Formats: sequence, C-alpha cells, structure tokens
Amino acid sequence: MSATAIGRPAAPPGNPVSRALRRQGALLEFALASLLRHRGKTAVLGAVLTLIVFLLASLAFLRSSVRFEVSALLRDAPDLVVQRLVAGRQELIPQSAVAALRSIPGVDRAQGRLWGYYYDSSGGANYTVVVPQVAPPADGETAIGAGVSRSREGYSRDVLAFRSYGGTAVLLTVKAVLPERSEMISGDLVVVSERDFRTLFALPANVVNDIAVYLAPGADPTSVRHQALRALPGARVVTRQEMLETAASFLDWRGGLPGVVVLAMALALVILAADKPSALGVEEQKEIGTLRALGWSKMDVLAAKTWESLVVSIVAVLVGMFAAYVHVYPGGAVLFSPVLRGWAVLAPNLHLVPSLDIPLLAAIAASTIMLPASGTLLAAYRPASGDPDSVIRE
Amino acid sequence: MNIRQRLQSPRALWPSPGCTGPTPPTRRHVLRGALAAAVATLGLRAIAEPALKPGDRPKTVTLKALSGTQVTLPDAFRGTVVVVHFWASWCPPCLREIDALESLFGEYRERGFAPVSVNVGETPAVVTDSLGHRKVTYPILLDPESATSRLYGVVGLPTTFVLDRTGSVAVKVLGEIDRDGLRRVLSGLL
Repeated sequence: MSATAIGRPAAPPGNPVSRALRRQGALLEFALASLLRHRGKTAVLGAVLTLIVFLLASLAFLRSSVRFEVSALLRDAPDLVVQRLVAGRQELIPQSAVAALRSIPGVDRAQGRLWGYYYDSSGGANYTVVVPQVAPPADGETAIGAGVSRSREGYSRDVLAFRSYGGTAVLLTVKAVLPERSEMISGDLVVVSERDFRTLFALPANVVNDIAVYLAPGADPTSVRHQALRALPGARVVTRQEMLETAASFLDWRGGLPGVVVLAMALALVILAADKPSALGVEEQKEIGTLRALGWSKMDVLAAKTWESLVVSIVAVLVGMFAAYVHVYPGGAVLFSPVLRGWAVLAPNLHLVPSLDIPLLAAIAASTIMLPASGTLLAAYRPASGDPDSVIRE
Repeated sequence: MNIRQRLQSPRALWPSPGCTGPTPPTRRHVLRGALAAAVATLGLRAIAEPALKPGDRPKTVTLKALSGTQVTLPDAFRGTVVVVHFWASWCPPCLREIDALESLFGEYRERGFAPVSVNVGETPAVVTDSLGHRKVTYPILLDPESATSRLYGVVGLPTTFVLDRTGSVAVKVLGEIDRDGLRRVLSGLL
C-alpha cells in the first residue's frame, strides 16, 4: 500500500485536472487495498451482485432473442388473415370466400390455408399438421419437426402411421427432418400434402381453415379489411400489425414468470442497497474514524468508500453479463428453459440467435452499480461527518 | 406414459427388497449411491440403443414365447419377411394390430410372411388375460425386462419393424397401422 493510501492524500503537483485524476487514483488504490483486507465480505457481496446480474441479464438476453425470432417469423406473415367465426369460435371457411377476397381492389393474392392439430397417443404429444403454401410434399410423404423426430425416434425413411377421423391408417413416409435451428417454430410440425391432410381430418374439399391475404404494394390494410368484412359478414379479419402487437404484449415483461423474476431481483437489489447502512461493521466505522483523525476530508472518505462499491459492482456486472451470455446462447438457457417453456413432450431445444437489448442491459448495469453505491454513501456519511474520536470509541 | 418413460422408472434402480449388504451404509455410501442413481437416471437416455433404421440388421435375441418355447429373433425366421410388432396390454391400438396381423398371417403365410408380437414389460398372466378370446396363431413373445424393445430403440407403442428376407430392417412404422396399411407396406417385400 502506498503512503498516500494511509495518510491524508497529499495535493499532487501539476494542473488541476491531472491533480484530481492522481488523487482519485490514490483513493482507488486505497479502496482496492480495503477490499482485500475485507476479502470475505467483498466476496459475498460480489457473489450476490453477480448472481442478480446473471439472472436479470439472462432474462434480458432470452427476451430480446425470442422477440427477434417472433418478429422474424411475422415478417413473412400475410398482411391479413380472414377467419370465420361461429358463436365466437373459429370454424372452417368455404373455399368460395377466397374468390370473393381476390376480387377486392388492393388484394394481390388470397390463399386458403390448411392446418390442424393431431394428438398422437403413441407418443403422447400433440403435433401441428400443416399443408405448406409452397412446395408441399407428395402424397404419402411428410417432413417432420426436430421435436417430433426426437420424441418418436423417427427419421428419414421411417413411416408415421396416423389414425384418420374415418378410422383408417394414414401412412406418411418421412422424407426429411426440419432443421434443428428452426425448432422453436417448427419442432412440432408434420408437413403433409393437401390430400393426406383432408384424409386425416376427414375434411371436405370445399373448405379451408382460414385465408391468407397478401396486399399489392401501397394498398391500405384498413380499407381492404373493411371491404373484406362487407364481402364476408361475420368473418374476423386480423391484420399483421395486430399479430405483432399480440406477440409484443405476450412477450412483454408483464407476460408472466419473467416479470415476477425481474421484480424479485430488482427488489433484492433495492434491499441490498437499503440494508447497507445497517450493515456497516464496527471495524469499518473505526476505519472511517481513523482516516478522519489522520486528516482525511469527509469528501475523501466518501470517495474512497464509493470506489470500493463501484469496483465490486462493476466486476459483478462484467462477470454476471458474460456468464448470462454464455448461459443463454451456447448453453441454451439451460437453467431457465424447463421453467419458462413448461412441460411438453415436444419442448424445443433453444438455439437462439444472439440479440442484445442495449438499453435494457444498460439499465441493469446502471441499477447494479448505482443502488449499492448509494447505499454505501448513505452508510458512510454519518461516521464520515461525525467527530472522529467518538466514531472510533463507539 | 411411453415405453422410454417406463424404462427410466426409478424402480429399476432400486435393489430388491430382500437385498441387504454386510455392513450398514455410511454417509459416503449413501452419497455415492445417490450420485450413481442420478448419473444412471440422467444418462439412461444417452446410453440407450439408437433406434434401428431401415437397412440396419437387428442383433440376435432369444425370447420366450407365450407358448413356452424359445424363439430366436430374427434367425428363426430366416428367408421370410418378418414383422416384429412391439405391444403392451394397456395399448388398445396394439390389440387392433394383433388382429390385423393374425388376419394377414392367414392370408400371406404361404408367401413367407412371419409376424411376431413382442410384449413389452408384462407378465405371461397379464399377456394371456389381455389377449382374451383372441385366437392368435403366430408367436407372441415376452420381453419382461424390456431389453429387446431397448435394443430396437422403441420409444412408443405400437412400433412395428418389417424385416426383409435378408433380416435387415425394411420399414419402421411408428404408430397404429391397420390391415390395409400393412398390406401396402408388405406389397413390395412378399
């Protein structure tokens, strides 16, 4: 430890800025030495702060990546989706509605969609069965999601046998397993031809599940929506913007367990900061009194204590965020995924694309640094302001 | 509950009730035991045999038939098209498949068609009871420890493997297949 770290920091020579910098350097050196002297307490505080940052940052990474995936998915969504409602529930819609929608000015194309859910009692899982609008598989063939493949140990050339609504077996030879990278959205998919879909669900040829509408460039979705509702009274028309807003509100902090975790962690941080004044030990109080008795100014004492807090918090932020990044991206959020995904036979493995929400991460870092620093300042203020003799004797 | 979940039942890891060691277990023994149980439970999926794929040749296994005879799979059926059908009494679609196989056995027997139904994890009494008044003329085999189903990589019932005349897997069917479906699968092999 340098002499300046023990006695009153001397006013160094030179211009005021460099003098101030050298003074702060000396105070920082003192703070580091003090942290080392109380290494047990420092380690515990650092570990708690690192854990809080790790949890908050993991949630932040997870949230921004899932939002990124959802927005990427909805980018290719149709401009409008038209559904038929009966007593508030979605029902099959006649194919004839497709022609009615195509005739609306501003509509580039309208296409009926076929999709449904099939419960596979052998695997105990629910699959999403779809007929793709582009390049559907041949009759009797299928492409399956990675989750379906994994749950049934089904691979290329194996045969999936589904029982149709008519009681007959629908045999589908697996031609491909969809890439694992897209598992979040394709893990439970069974992609089939239109004929196999209609056989499986005993669906008449003149109905579809809903209609995807794509607008010509420059067309106004609101205007087309009004015309669609005039052409098909009783239909429900959902715009892409509404789909985006629904997804955004679902993934918002208010959207469930992450919100509770964030609140709990934020509360822990506040309690940690608020508890600091009462947690200032006798030894630390005596140390402050001794420094004051040696001639340190109140401001120097407070600055040294603030440096101590800042060093611990900054290291906690760096280590916590790095650990959170490794946990969420290469690690597939292994600690959170069982809780956040819930239980499912087809729960997807998370292969997230890294996406950083810089303002949110900055807010986490600022809270982690500022709150404990404020607590330390409050704690040190009274002994630093009091009479050194009485502080030492207390 | 599917087969894999049943196979991973912790019951398989417990010692039998009558099994006692010469010395009372120390804390170290308990910790070691707990660690071994955890590793075994977590690792079962990883060390389970990979599922057989078309083109693979299953390993030879000898199973006891419900009739009491020993049957070696698939060697006992060399030169025929064998359907190895994994089933259990709690699986209604499996019983419908047994009816379909029995029907096709009568139809295709002369053309070298040999079905076997391998019961997974149940006792002969349960198997007999579940078959009820069904007249099954082809072999019903017993796999009480589920070892054969593990060897074939079965993770759900029913699962059916069709072996060609060379003994290699020609088709693996996941889920319930009816008589017409089986007929389609067998059409290119018989």
